[in-house]
Formats: sequence, C-alpha cells, structure tokens
Amino acid sequence: MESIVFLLLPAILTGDIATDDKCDTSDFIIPACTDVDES
Amino acid sequence: MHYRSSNFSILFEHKQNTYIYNTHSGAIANISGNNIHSAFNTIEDLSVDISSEPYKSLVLGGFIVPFDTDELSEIRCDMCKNKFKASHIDFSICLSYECNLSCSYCFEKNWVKITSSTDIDSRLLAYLQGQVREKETKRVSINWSGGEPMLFLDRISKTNSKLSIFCKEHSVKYRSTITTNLTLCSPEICDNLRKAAINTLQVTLDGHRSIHDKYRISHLYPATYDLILENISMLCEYVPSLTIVLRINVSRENFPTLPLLIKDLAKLNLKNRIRIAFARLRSHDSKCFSVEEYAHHEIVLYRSFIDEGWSFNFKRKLTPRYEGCAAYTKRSYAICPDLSVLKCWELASSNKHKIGRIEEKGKMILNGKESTALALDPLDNQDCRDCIHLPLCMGGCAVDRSTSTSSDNCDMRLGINCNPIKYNLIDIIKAYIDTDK
Repeated sequence: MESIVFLLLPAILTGDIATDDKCDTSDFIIPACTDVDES
Repeated sequence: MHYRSSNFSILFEHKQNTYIYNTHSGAIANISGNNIHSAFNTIEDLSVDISSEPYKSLVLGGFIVPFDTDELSEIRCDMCKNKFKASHIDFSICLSYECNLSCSYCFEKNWVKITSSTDIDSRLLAYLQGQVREKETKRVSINWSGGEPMLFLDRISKTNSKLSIFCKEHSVKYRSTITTNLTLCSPEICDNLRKAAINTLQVTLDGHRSIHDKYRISHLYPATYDLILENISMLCEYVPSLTIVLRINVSRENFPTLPLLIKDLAKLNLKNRIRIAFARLRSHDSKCFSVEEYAHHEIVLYRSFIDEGWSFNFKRKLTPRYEGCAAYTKRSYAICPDLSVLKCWELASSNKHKIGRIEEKGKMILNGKESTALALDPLDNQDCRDCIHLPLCMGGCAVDRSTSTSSDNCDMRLGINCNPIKYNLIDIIKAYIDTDK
C-alpha cells in the first residue's frame, strides 16, 4: 500500500509561523542564544 | 507544472520505516511503498499531477516544490516578514546587576552595580504601557533577569502585576518569566510570585552537586545545589500554576555526573512537574564540549531522561525559526537598570551596542544604531545559504557576527556558533517519532 502519513504538518498550517506563539511552548525562553558565556 | 525535490528535504530510515522531513516546512511524514520512495528520489523537473497522491501530500509537506522556486528567497521573505512583525514584543529587563552569588564564569561580575530606582520603575511602566497601547500589539512577553532578580522581587512584582492587568484591559496577551539562581525562596516569596502573575521561572544547574557546587556559589552560599532543589520543590508546592524550567548546563566535566541529577529529581517527585532544557557550556575552556560533541551528548541525555519517563517538546526544535535572532528583530529589546536599551542581552557588556534610552514619561529615544542590527541577515553568509539546517537556526546568535572583527573571521563561517541541531537533527526527529503520542 502506497501512503504518506504526516506525523507533523507544515508549521505554516499548524500556525506555528503565522502566530509565532512561543508563549504556549514549553521552552520559549531557551533560545540558542542563552548559552552561558564565559568570555 | 514541473516539480523538483526541495533542497531542504531529508529522507531517512528508522525502525524499518521510511520518513521524510523538511527543515523549511517543518513537516514530517512516514512514507511507505517503493514507488513513493523512488518517486521522491527521482523527482527532478518532473511534470506531475499534484491533485492526486502521493504528489498532493509531497507538495503539502513542502517535500517537492515547483521547479522554479527559489527556496532561499522564500526563507528570506519569511524572515523579513517576521523580524518586522509589529504584533509581538519581547523584552528582557534587568533592574539591577546585583547578585548574591559570584559564579566564576559570570560575564556580569565586573559590571558597575547600578540599581535602578522607583522613579525608574514608573518610567519603565509608562514605556511598557505605551507599547501595549500600540494598535498592532497582540502579545507582550517579559523576561525579568539580573543580577539576581529575586533581590528585587517587590519591584518586579509591582510592575509585572500592573502590566498584566493593563494588558488584559487592552486585550493583549501577556506572559512573564523570571530567570533566577533560586537561592532565595520562602513561602512569602512564593506568594509574591503568585501575586505578581509570573508565568514561568527559569533556574540553572551546572550539573550534579560535585560540579555545580564548584561554580554556582559565593562566600554567603558555599554550596547551592541542594538549596536550589529544595526551593524548586517549595515552588512546586506553593505555586502549582508556575511553569518551572530547569536549565542544565552541560560540559565535558559535568556530563558523567548527570545520571545522579536525574535520580535526585526523581527522588523529589519533580519528573514532568518541571521542564528540562539542556544548554552547552560555552567558552574556550577544555572542560566545554565543541558544538558537535555537545550535540551527540545532548541526545544521550534526552534518551536517558526519556528512559526515566521524562517528556520533551521536540516539536519546538523541529519548527522553522523564521523570526531569527532577537538581536535583529524589530520589537525585541533588552532594558538595562539605567533604562538604556539594547537589542539583546548578549550585547550588554558594551555601551557601543546601546540603541537608545527610555527617557521621561516613558518615551524611548533612539540613537540611530537600531537599523544596523535590523539589517543583519544570516543569508549574507555563504555557509548558511548552503546549509540544509538554515531554517531551524536562521544563522544562530547575531551577536557573534556583529562583534566579529572581520567577516573573514566570523564565528559563523568557522561553524563555532552553529546550532547543535546541525549535528543531531536526525536523532532529534527519531526522538520526536518515538515519543509523540
């Protein structure tokens, strides 16, 4: 049987880009840029 | 119409299944049947009927695109649209650099300990309320940082609760976070956090006790590991609505100790009551992993925690990050204790990066430097343009680029600042597949 089953839809369809509502995600305050800087 | 494979699609096998993921769309699909597999691999200027399967789904997922699509231009358009978006504002606010710890690696420890005053607080509130009143504003996020913000929780609480009510009155969504070392906690502080309407608290451990207590200390606090864990437990009990994020800094030195930390968290019944976020300890020290080494160890950690019943938001890691770095996002500001303003906290060590100041009556006066930050574009870098992971990191931290002495010596070109997902993407997708319910 030929099939394509989506496990994750495109972000544009789920609204992750359109609304960019990081508030509702668990780790919105942990972007890559918060790495500890020892300089 | 003629179609071709997207430059951002990745095909891989996992547990006898074939999956396809696209970094540009963020879609993941399980594909079965040899025809689809081979169709995807051979699509190159192929005329297909996209109203029928499998091509309909391949187009929907962004796995194949119209032949003449310039995908990099699409990414650049998405980034520009998001970086100048007026509906969302993000602030990182520091009322003082004062701290009750003196961690050996702290980059703030030599900064002048300015503590802003209540007059400053009223000016700050007036400015923030002005931003909420802007007709485009739909969402405001504030991260209260320091120094140690718990030393000034009364002031934070007053401003935060007033702003929370003000946002509600103006139908603007409001979220606030406090980033603390969590050495200061009591039932009264918990009560204050609740009244302040703080939504999320972030605290960091530098590994298990034996390593953490070498670094996150001061003469007043010769050891903080057990204190922090006790205080996390207290918060869970007294402020159940608070989202607690435990950031675990990972290094070559502390990595072997982390299984002990997992056990300690389990003993305190913190499993899935708090959220875990790993971060690479970053310096030129041999104790730190390179990004690539860290990426491989990060997966080991995720799997170790998952095996003990923890869950993670892998979807967030697999979602395209079109807004890019805060340092070049229009409505993103870091506000210092004297109300001078930066684009990002990473730039706070030097006055030369300040873009303005909040003056009397809460009006921000810009000095003309903001455009320099807003003009930063990760697609200016050839290595980034050639990278299949670009939509997931959008060039990473812009500060490393803008402070680089020359473009030829840019950290990004050397790959130093690449996101770990460059090295563990497939493993992250597999973890998402294995744990998605």
